[in-house]
Amino acid sequence: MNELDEIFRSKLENHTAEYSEQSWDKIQSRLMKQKSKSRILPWLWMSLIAVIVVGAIYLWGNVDDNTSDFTQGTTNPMVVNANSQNQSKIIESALENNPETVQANELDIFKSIDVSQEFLTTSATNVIGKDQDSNSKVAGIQEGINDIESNNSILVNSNLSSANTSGQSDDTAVKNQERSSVSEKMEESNEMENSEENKVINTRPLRTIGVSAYSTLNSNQNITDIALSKSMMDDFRQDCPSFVTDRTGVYLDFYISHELPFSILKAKTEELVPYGTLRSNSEGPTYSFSAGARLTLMLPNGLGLKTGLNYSQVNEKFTYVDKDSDIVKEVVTTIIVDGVATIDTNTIIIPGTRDIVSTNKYRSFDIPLLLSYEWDVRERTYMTVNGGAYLNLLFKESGKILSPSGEVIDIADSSGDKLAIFKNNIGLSLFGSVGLHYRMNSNIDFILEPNIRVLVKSATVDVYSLEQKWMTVGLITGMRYNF
Amino acid sequence: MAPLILNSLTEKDLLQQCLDGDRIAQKQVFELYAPKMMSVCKRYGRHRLEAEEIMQDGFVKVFINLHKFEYKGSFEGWVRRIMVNTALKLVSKKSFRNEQIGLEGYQERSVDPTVYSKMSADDMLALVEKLPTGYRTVFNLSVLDGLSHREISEALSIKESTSRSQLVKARNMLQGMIIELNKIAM
Repeated sequence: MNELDEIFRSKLENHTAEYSEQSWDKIQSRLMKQKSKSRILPWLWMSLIAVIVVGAIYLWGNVDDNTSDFTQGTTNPMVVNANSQNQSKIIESALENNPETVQANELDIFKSIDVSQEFLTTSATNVIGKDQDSNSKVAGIQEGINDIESNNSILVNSNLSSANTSGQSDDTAVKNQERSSVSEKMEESNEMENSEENKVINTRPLRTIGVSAYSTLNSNQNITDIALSKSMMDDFRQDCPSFVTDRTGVYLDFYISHELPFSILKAKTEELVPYGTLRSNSEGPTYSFSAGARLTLMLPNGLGLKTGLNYSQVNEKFTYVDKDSDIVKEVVTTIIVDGVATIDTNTIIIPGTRDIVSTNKYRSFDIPLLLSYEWDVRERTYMTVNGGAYLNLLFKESGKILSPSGEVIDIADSSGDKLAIFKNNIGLSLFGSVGLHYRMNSNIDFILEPNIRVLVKSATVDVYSLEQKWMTVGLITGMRYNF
Repeated sequence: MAPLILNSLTEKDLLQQCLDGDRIAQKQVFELYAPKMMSVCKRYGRHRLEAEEIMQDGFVKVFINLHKFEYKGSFEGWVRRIMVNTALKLVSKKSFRNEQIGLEGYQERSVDPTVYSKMSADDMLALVEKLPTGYRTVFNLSVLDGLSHREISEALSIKESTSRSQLVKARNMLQGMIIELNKIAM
């Protein structure tokens, strides 16, 4: 290294230079933006997980419903799974080939059913109840076999299912009575079913049969079985108010919320209070709205989980009178002298005031995560209470506000050297609502839901002089679709 | 600017606070290293605004990538390297295209050593800033930031011979400027 290099290195190695005072503010602002971006990704993951969890629970619920048709009695009792269907066919075939053998060995048939269809046996155990012995179970199922013999048809599965559901029905005397009454009501249709050709089973569509057969126990206890389809449950709900509505399932709400926002501006230091007042006086609430879709997973006890996607637009009116504003006008005059056109341009300055009016728009995409509880109020009407959080995905702003020096500035997203005032992600909002639902038909409900939403943290960046939050009060109108 | 004298332990604590997202700690780190880094950036930037831009970009990278610093070397060296890398992104290959002339006609001039002693660091920095971009970049990387010609050729995607020739021309130009300044001073 030559002498020149050495001298330059030694002199400049620890040399310092002055930098702009705004450098740190700009760096901090960019770091905030970077942080906001990195926050969006976890929310997206969380929302994806939420959707997957809700979907999985729904699917699991469906599978559970199918396998527990024998015990739940809430869906078509004629729905049997593949194993029982196969078994039915075996029995049917045996009956056709040699009815006497089948009749003589009915207990063996039962045993074969018992062995080959463990779940049926298990179900039968449930049917009879905890305090019933296996003889009762045999009696119940033998009744089914007798029916087979008398009708010369295969109703083993339906009888088993009916016997099974009857076990659930003897939980309480009241339920038995209710179900008995309904059973009587439906007996006619049942007889009609039995009188028809029943050789082919499991071919009828869902929700066509409301009641299955009955059986009796040795104790002469009536364990009438009722298995109601969803549509029949809906019909009976109106006739029998004491029925508990079964809302278990997944629902989809589409809604629009008509809102009024209240901006909460807070100065970070006492010196900045006048600036806060200046901004409060120049900005006021105006009609705002939210819209979105919510997926609701309802549990049997009335509790529900809601999630979806929500778009909110908080609108505020910015009004400002610039007293020192001059109106500048250019007057262009064409003068024709001796056939030659001359253009004369004059600038006129009119001193005065200027009214500046602008609508500030604060847009956000959020994922609601809500807990809800629903209960019946009267026929076709039920209420909900909802509470939880809105997780912000993205926040965008546009419009005008006053700067601390009293100038009108644009709040649109910062670019280049311009400092951002608002965050890209405003975090969490708390949400609460009370909803009134009216069941228009078996699939559609009308929703009316007063609500309140409060932003937890300031929407402004840390370096900005004021904290700004919103509280919105609104009324949701929407529709619920029952799957 | 409050002077901050930190031993290695407190520097580590401060950096840990930065990693925890402590804005005050980040500001302290910035204030501690910004003056030196601004000098580095001024050497690479074409003008003051560009130097400011390089420094801001560099510090944003420093704080975002702070978790990657492994305390194997000095923190200042790590920050300086980030600043230099950030600056190099602004240096276009065009800067070298018109300066790839042979070494013919270039002879090192001799400068009275006493002239150097009269010059301040600011004077020297001003001279470096006056160099054409290609000369300046290679001179900075080679002489002031200690990169070999091979490293420079990789960093700038140029030939090693180009790097060598740029350095020779930069030195010659600087010596010429110093002689001129000395004449004016006398």
